[in-house]
Amino acid sequence: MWDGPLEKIDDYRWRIPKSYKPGMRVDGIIYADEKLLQDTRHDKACEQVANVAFLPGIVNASLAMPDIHWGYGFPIGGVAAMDIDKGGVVSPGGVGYDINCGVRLLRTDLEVDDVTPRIKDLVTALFQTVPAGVGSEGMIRADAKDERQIMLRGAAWAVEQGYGSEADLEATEERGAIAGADPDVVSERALKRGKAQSGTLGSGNHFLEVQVIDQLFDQGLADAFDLRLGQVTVMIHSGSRGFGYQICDDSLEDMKRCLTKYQINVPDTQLACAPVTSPEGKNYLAAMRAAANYAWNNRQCLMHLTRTAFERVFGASWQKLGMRLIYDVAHNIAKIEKHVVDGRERTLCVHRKGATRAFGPGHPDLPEAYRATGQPVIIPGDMGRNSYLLAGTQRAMEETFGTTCHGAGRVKSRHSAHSSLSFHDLMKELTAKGIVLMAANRGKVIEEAPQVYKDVNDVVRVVHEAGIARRVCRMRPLGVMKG
Amino acid sequence: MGKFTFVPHTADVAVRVEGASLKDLFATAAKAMFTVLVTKKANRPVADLSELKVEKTGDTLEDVLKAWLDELLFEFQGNGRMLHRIKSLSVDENAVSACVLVCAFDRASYDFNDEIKAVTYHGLKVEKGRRGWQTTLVFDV
Repeated sequence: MWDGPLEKIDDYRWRIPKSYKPGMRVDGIIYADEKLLQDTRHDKACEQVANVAFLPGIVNASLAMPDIHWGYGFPIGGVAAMDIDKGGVVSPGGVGYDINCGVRLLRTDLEVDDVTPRIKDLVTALFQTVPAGVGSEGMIRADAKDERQIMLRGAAWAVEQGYGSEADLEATEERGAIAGADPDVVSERALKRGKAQSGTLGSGNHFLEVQVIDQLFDQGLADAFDLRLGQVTVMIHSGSRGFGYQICDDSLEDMKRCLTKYQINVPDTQLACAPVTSPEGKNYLAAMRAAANYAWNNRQCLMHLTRTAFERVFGASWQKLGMRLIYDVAHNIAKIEKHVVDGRERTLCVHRKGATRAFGPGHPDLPEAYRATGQPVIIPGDMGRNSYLLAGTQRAMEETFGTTCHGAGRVKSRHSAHSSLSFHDLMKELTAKGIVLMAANRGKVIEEAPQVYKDVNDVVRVVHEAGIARRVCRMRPLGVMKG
Repeated sequence: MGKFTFVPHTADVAVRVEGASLKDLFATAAKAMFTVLVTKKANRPVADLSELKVEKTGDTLEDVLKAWLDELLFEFQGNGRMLHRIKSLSVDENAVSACVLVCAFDRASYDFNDEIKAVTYHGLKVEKGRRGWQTTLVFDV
């Protein structure tokens, strides 16, 4: 139980004053309501918010979203922006091991009544088509030359192989490839761990879901996104697999040495960091971007396989089924962005670890189609409750460097999931809700049961009420595929 | 042989490891890690045995322990080869030197369990107590 100070700013924001710990450069600010705040006190996540405030160059505050929970160095749900011109640092702990873990959402022209009678066939087809689970290998092959292209050009590589269309790239953050990746700084080990993993879902909390829109919150935005009640959507959650894990681990070794080299004082080794402009900082960012591009390519390949499974079950092309990508967002990444701080535009290194970019209407980085609406923000929940589509806001630009939450946030350990829940009960619960589940490792599914997560409805309500994203619509799962 | 026990952790897998000596602690930590990674389901002849030499150094004992486990984790996830037996192992404050037998991962003998993303530094401290050495490992899964 964490019993440090949390001062109420308003109904949805709480401050950890910088006086809490000598060494904090700014306050910590947590977005939560009273109920979620109680969950947050159960582990050391608040202490981690305070620890992040030690990092050189941090501006405004060390932020945390309402899905905050314990992570390595940074909490999951942590957001911090460092001013590059003022010695701002980049920290691999502010991105996490699964670099560019993220989510994409596809719309379809299918209605719930088209899918429900065939949901078992559909989930089975997805399970047969999309490799998932620990140790699974992808059917999409890439040789050494291709791997280099994937690191540099991300999802564009997949599109060139015929795994999607140009419009998919337009609907992907950074068009599916962030500039500045350098394959030459990526270790042989990372390449080896990532080999044959393109187009694989992975394990843990990664998933593929067939969903139906069960609630509309904003008719205007839903119309703009071409979405309606009862419409079937597909959500894909995955990241950079072993490739990204190894890049993070490699960089931690380098960054640990930087703490002495650049005389940086942090209270936790997992916050190891280096100035963005230092050779070590540049190397990390170049390798991290290669992993980010790998992840965008991975999700593009996963979407291609998903479309193939739908084509088989419904006997029509994905274009005929209206399977258009709404958007793809990263939720573990560090990016160089321009934001206004104290009335002046500054160049910042924005860390989002378990947090989603949520740029407001008019932002020049958004594709033309979303310039007026604000960026689509995709928030997955758990396998038994809901997921959401939101839109970015101007208030997020002003308060959180254009950022909002990324999911529900874990509250129960895997250990306690196994001791308090049963697979049989979980299946009964899902069946009663009409949800079909298939998993590569049935024994592990219990670790992802709805009960181990905060209620995503509560989390999303907080970001909506706080104004750092706007609810567009809510989905509920029909079919779930887990690694 | 030392012992290990799993301890609750909100997001990941944590294991408390104890050993009579440093060597015992390192060997038990490796065994604990492979318990997280795989579950044995059948006794079959071991396939394709080979020797792996591990020579790693570090500024602290914690660095050395992490480097040791990192080598074995990479051997498994990068090369598909799992720890079979430790032939020799010596450890001091700043180095580990070992010769281990590794074998091809055989899906007929083992099931995959958790995918370990990394051995983390979180709270990593190797300590000497009255009954020997102990540490708690947190694996990001």
